[in-house]
Amino acid sequence: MMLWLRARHAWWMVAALVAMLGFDRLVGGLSLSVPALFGGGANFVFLRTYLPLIWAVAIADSFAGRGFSIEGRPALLPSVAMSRLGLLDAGLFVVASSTAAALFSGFQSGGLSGTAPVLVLSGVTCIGTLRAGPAVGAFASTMLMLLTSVYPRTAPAARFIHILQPDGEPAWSTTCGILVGLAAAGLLATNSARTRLRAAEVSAL
Amino acid sequence: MTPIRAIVRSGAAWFLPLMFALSSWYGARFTFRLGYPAGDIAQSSVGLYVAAPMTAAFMALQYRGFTPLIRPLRITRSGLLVVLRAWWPLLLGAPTTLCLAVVVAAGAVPNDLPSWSLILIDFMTVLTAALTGLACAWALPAVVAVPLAAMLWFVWVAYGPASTNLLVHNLASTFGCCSSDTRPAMVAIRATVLLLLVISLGIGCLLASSRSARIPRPLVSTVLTLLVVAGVGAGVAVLRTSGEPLTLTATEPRTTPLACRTEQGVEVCLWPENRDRTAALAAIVGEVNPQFQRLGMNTIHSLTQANGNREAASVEAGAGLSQQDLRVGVAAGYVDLQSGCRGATGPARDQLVALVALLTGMRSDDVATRLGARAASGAEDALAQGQGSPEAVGVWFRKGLPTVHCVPPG
Repeated sequence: MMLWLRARHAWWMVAALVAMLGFDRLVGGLSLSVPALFGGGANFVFLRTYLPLIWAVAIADSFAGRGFSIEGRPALLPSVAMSRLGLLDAGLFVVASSTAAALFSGFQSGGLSGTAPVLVLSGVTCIGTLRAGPAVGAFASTMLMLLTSVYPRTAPAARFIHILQPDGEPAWSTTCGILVGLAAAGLLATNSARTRLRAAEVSAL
Repeated sequence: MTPIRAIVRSGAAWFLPLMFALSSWYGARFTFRLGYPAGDIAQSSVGLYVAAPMTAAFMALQYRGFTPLIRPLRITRSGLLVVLRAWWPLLLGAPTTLCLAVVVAAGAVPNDLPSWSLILIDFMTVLTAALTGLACAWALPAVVAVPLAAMLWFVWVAYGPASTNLLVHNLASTFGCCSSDTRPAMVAIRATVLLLLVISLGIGCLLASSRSARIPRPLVSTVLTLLVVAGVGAGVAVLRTSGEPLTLTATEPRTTPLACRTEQGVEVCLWPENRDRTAALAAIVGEVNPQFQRLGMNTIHSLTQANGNREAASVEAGAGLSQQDLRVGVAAGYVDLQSGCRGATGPARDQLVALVALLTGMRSDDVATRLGARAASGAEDALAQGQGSPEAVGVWFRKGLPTVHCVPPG
């Protein structure tokens, strides 16, 4: 079990959680200006909105080797069967992401809706990591965060596009977070994802 | 590496069209066309909000693993040349794509120093974003480098306009300018270009050696941090030593000579890009001056688009303004001239502007749309009361002038 926790970089996940909460306390209230494209003027978003990316990085790092079947090699994890490994990984993902989401939302006024960004980004990153590698997982969550942030608040369906922002529709965002998280946990539990690598990535391993 | 292979391998073949579409859509949404290239380009440069972080993240994503790939090779060429041969489609293509998107979104071709300066800043910003993305992927694991590069650029681009710090405002790549009367402050442009140059040249120097692939990662991170500090320091030094006053808008008065022409006995001085509005403005004045004479009010002799001439009524004549907007503009300029308060606000002023707008021939509902129903109905009542004696309207107008709330300059 200890070997499995080390392979999953459990301490890095704890460190990422502490960093996310710490940054939230220290600089979470720093305001940024995003142009309000419809109607002129500007909207302000707080730096806090972007902090769940720290957790997304931890998820990508933790499950980086998951799709490579590295853990299937006896020399690395001799006593853990693949099916049990999948369940353990899925359990770790669900428990860790839910805990991170609950603790992060505790620092915001939004209540349960504050959990959505952490859940959505965890899920998207994990799926991206399993399918195409950790860098693509982190890239997918970064682009999701960036593009939803700059989508104008007065544009059509903005409440449903802003699933990572505090002004989004809370029920919709939370539902998306739960669904994406469950999909990622399902991929982990069933071992159904295999990463396709580029030559450059193999050399970087 | 052949050019085609470089374009395909770098991902530029699909990334650049996507970036062009997003940046031009974003820029076009925000632009209220002035017909003034520097103003329109500055507004469309909001495409940087998307382009700079996207480019940094994508460069970091694509560059991952490149240094370990070439490290074992016996390369005799400069590392910078190797990188350029492999990554020129992103390093040069992304900035060029953004500049094209900005020009297309603005619908303006740069034709003077301020507008070319803004294009240069857009180009340099995305080039620096691409180089920092590359350096981040060189110095850090890709999983950290990708979000870090994107978010640092997003925060830098978005924090500038939100900050109340004068130095940050004048170093930001996004200029909150320009109305027809202003242009980007040259000192801010110099400082921003220097900041971007220091960072991008520094990364270029780091890559220059043929043994650059063997530089340890911690050293690359340290140098990158020092370059950012040095760049900001150089920019701040330029701002501090210039001796020029810094403003939160990072603008200065425009120096382009006005194009003046006299039509229908009215001298109309407009910015060169708006000179085709001269006849329309003179016609409005030609319609309203007889009304002023009938009501015993002062007539308009000259209109100007700049604030320099204290004897002329100030007007707006931007490309995006309709005929009705021009009429309200003439009315507002007249009230400001008569009250001696340029840019005043408040209900008292709105009511006087509404009266003059009605005299120019505007319909009451058009006036209400622009100045509010209360101002329009107040002006209509005043006109109705003056049907018996026209001079009464002039008296009502003059009595209203002292009630206009002047905004102190600055």
